[in-house]
Amino acid sequence: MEAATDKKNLLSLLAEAFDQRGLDHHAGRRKAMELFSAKGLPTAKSEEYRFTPIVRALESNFTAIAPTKSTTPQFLEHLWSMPCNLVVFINGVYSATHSILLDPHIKITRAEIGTTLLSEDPFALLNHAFAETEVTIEVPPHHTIEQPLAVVYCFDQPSFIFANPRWTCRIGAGSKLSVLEYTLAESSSPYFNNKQSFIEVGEHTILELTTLQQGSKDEVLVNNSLVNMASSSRAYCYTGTLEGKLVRNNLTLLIDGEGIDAHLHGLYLVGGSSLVDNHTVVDHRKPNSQSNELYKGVMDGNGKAVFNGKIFVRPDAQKTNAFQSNRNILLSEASNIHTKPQLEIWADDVKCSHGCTTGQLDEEALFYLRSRGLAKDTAKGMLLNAFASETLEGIPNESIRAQVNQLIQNKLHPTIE
Amino acid sequence: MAKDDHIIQEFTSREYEHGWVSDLEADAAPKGLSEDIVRFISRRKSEPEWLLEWRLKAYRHWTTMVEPKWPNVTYPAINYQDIIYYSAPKQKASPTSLDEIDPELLKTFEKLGISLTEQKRLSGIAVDAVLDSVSVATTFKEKLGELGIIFCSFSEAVREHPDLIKKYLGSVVPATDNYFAALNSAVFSDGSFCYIPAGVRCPMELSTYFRINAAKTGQFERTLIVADEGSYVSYLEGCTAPMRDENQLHAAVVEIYAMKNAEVKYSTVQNWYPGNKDGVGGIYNFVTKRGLCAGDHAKISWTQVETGSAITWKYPSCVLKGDYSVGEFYSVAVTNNYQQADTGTKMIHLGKNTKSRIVSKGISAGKSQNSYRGQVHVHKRAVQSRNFSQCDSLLLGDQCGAHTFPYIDVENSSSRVEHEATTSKIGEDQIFYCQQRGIDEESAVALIVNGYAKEVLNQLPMEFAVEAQKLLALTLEGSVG
Repeated sequence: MEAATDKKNLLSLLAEAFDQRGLDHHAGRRKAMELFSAKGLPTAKSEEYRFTPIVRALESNFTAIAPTKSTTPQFLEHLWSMPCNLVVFINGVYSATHSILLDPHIKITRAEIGTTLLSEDPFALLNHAFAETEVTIEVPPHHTIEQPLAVVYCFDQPSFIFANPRWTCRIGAGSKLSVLEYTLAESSSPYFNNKQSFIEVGEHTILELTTLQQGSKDEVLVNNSLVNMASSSRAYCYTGTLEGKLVRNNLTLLIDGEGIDAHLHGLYLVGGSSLVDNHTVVDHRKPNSQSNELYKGVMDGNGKAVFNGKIFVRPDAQKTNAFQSNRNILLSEASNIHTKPQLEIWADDVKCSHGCTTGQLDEEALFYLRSRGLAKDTAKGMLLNAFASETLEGIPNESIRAQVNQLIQNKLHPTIE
Repeated sequence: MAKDDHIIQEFTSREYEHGWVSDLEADAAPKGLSEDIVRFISRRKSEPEWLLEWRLKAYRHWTTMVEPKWPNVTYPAINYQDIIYYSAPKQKASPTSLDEIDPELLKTFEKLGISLTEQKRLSGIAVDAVLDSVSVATTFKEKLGELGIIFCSFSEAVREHPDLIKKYLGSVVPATDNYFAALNSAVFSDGSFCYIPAGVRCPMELSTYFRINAAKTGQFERTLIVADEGSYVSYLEGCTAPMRDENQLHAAVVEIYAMKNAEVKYSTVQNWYPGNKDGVGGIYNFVTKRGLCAGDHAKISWTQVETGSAITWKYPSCVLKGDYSVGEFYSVAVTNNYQQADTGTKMIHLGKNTKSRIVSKGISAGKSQNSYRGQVHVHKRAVQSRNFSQCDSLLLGDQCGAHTFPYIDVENSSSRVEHEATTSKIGEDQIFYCQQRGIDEESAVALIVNGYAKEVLNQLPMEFAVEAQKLLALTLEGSVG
């Protein structure tokens, strides 16, 4: 019963904050908040959040005070070796001074939050209600943006922060854009990053979206990411989760045109008592497209992972090819995995498949390496690396791939020692 | 394309062949459900007090529950007060031999091809036939009795073997398990009971045949199989119903209790009336089936061929409690016209070194929806466990749907779980290959579908495999191109 009262507290805290900040004067926010209040926070009984106790993770230190724009964060550094166009959110608030664009073709505008709800997910609704502003990034048609666009979430406060960064990116027809998303935070700062992004991919456009999640150890992250694809476009989405107390990814790809090629790759390395939850939706609404999904995970310690991959093939989406694979390695007795690869198909002329495995490192492979004189940990590290690096195929840009690979290796090594 | 349309039309216009009604006088309870009805059923069956209490407890719990909405099926709300919960063919006292049974009734079973009269002794299957709500006859009783095997109707078992019933009833599916199991526990009218003593290998297939005959009735039978240490039994279940415009409810419960080293094989060919081609009428088949491998090295194997019912909601499950126990699930589910099926299994691994295997083949045609929903749960203690699941869907026609909802939960690091699923239609290249070799299109499709379902059909006992193949052929010959 205690949990029930706590949950009510969290709900009432949110409702209070909403009124105090005067957000209810805005029609769009009010609509989102009303729907959110009607739905309530997800519990273990909500099918979509069965294994993901976000409410419990937040209960301990949640405050809904309005985030303040910080001074220059000391640690806003480049994670990447190449120059990037920067879009920076500090404690969830867009910072124009730090957002520096290298390519003059990219345009950033800020506007009041709209009234159209992107999703009925409770956290997406919360973001709609609380986000400070709608940041819109526009790439004109027929432009290849050479430098990646880095969207950075910075957290620099020792006290709890409830952050609701929100951005929309429109990529014109025939353009190409690489988006890098990542978090910079002090290793122990507590915050709830409730992010929402919406990317509209024009016809014949190429999107590379690489999300690297390595925030603080106390991070609670809900990453709502919606990608809408037009005909003949291509998308490569990579989601790598390396750190965080509780991470929930809602990645939705709407295949809303023909001749689309969509790739989703993901890797989650979960240790300690963390939980990483990946929910992906690939919604084939039009014929003649293909999607390919590969998610892999390594769980250690008390780590827990959830994977739910939905593939919808609507009645019109004939000649769809959709593939999905989820592979997991459990390293410790206490770690566990809940996976649910889900296919819902209403068209007959399709080829769809999904596969999912859960197991351990191959004893024979381990033995082979050790018989050649490698220490157990080194051998294990090599095998895990090989296992994890398959997902990197989802990053087309070589230099980004190399850097992500380095980060994964750094993370894997402490796991095996 | 024109040919395809023709073939599909021919296939979709096929009528249900078991759709006749027998003109039997029935002794029925009034419509509706209340404690009084539960008492009425219990009194009519002269049940002991404890069983009435058990029923009432289930009924009271049922009234606090809500109908589950999670299955991927849609149907108009069921009015539970508009159903007759008890209907029995009228008989003069209890029959002492088959001669005293209503000849109309015997004709019914002859039409179904069930060997009640023991003339077909050579077919070698012991049958317990359940009409509407009551078990009407059981064959081969004496021969089985010599081996100590108890195979009789549920009511008889309550009278003759109350200790066994008291001990095992609800031990696998508790009265309060789920909405339909609770309903069944409250109003179940009859069913079959089977007990195989330790070390006995049942020499013949045991079989139950269910038929709903009277209008507006629901059928709520209960099957309980107890396999003592080191025993083996193969059990068959079949069912049909007349064609009617309204929907009828069938909420059965099957419990299997397997002790150390015991093996139970349970096969079903489900052929309830599926409704006509516009989706009018048909049976709502909401069934709870569960087996418990209570002892080490026990094995339970479910095989099902699902071709009938307007709506199927059924998850034969295995609770693998004993170490080294094995659970298997083989299923072919065919849906056509407006049929909806949400079926699958649950494999709950609790014991060490437990193994399970799931092979599910869905075939959807017409405007039907076919879902596989399964769970594989490997508990923390179930070290070194192994599961392999395969669920394939075949789509015939562009207005049907095939869905897969596998839930896989693994809580220890020494177990291996694999799952794979595919969805496709019959490849043009496959048909082309057959045609090239002089096999016409229809035979090619039959060949491919047969091959597709073979892995499951092979699991069926001989006698049933023939029936199942016939059913498949009837429903699917030449339905794709």
